Amino acid sequence: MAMKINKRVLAADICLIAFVLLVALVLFLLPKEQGTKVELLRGGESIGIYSLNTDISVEVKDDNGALLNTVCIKNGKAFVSYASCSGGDCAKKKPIYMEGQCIVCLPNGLTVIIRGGNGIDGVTG
Amino acid sequence: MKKRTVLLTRLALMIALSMIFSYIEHLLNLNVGIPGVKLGTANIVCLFALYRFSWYEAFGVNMGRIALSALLFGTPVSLLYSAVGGVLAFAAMLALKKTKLFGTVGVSVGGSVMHCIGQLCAATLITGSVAVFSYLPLMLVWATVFGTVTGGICLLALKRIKKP
Repeated sequence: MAMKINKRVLAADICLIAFVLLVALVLFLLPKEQGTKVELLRGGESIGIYSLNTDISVEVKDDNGALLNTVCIKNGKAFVSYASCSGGDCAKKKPIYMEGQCIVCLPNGLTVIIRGGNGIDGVTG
Repeated sequence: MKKRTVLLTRLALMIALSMIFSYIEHLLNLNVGIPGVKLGTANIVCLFALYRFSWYEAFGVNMGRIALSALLFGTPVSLLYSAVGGVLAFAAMLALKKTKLFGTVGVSVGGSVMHCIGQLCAATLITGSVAVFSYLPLMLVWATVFGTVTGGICLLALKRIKKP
């Protein structure tokens, strides 16, 4: 069966796809700085802030003391080395180190986010 | 009465088909580096229903599939993700279709993009942090790719499956 192609519709579709990809590209290219700290959030509340310069392994446990995740900071990068959930997607993510990057463990409600600056940069300009 | 029976049977068939797609995707467990990113083949059925039948049938297929899939293979949390993403995606697809500007591929891409945004909103609700939106750029790229593929498949289906 021959398929009729409506050029106007095709052009609109291509424009829409190009627009979405352009937005993605702009978001990718937004200037990001090397982070200095790692903040761990659980359920929206901060449970710890660690320096990216110090190698450390942090165990995140639930209220009953059961291990949920292990977050490692090594060579200036942070990653999740263990996740108690069945999916374990967060443990497969590459190490993060740029400001604003994050690793989320949805089943355990954990967010690992890279923070930048030292608090003074935020008020300049 | 006959009309209602036809509607019910058609809805049941389409929900069953979209659930099979959901199940196959669940088995494939596609990993593109972001949790929760899926090909979205189940959306082909919803899109097909939107073009071939009516918006309420398409909405019924979408919601029926989301509820039943969550009951069978999901959790309350996954239901929240699917429901928020599904409703936003459906609203976007319906709005884009109503403009009569876009084809099935454009409508499908719009739906995919809004599905991602909906899922990120749900993730923000659960984690309490907007940091999850840092996944957005990569998710937009995948949404475009997968939306184009599923929209293309739906277009082929619409051309090849004769009207009843």
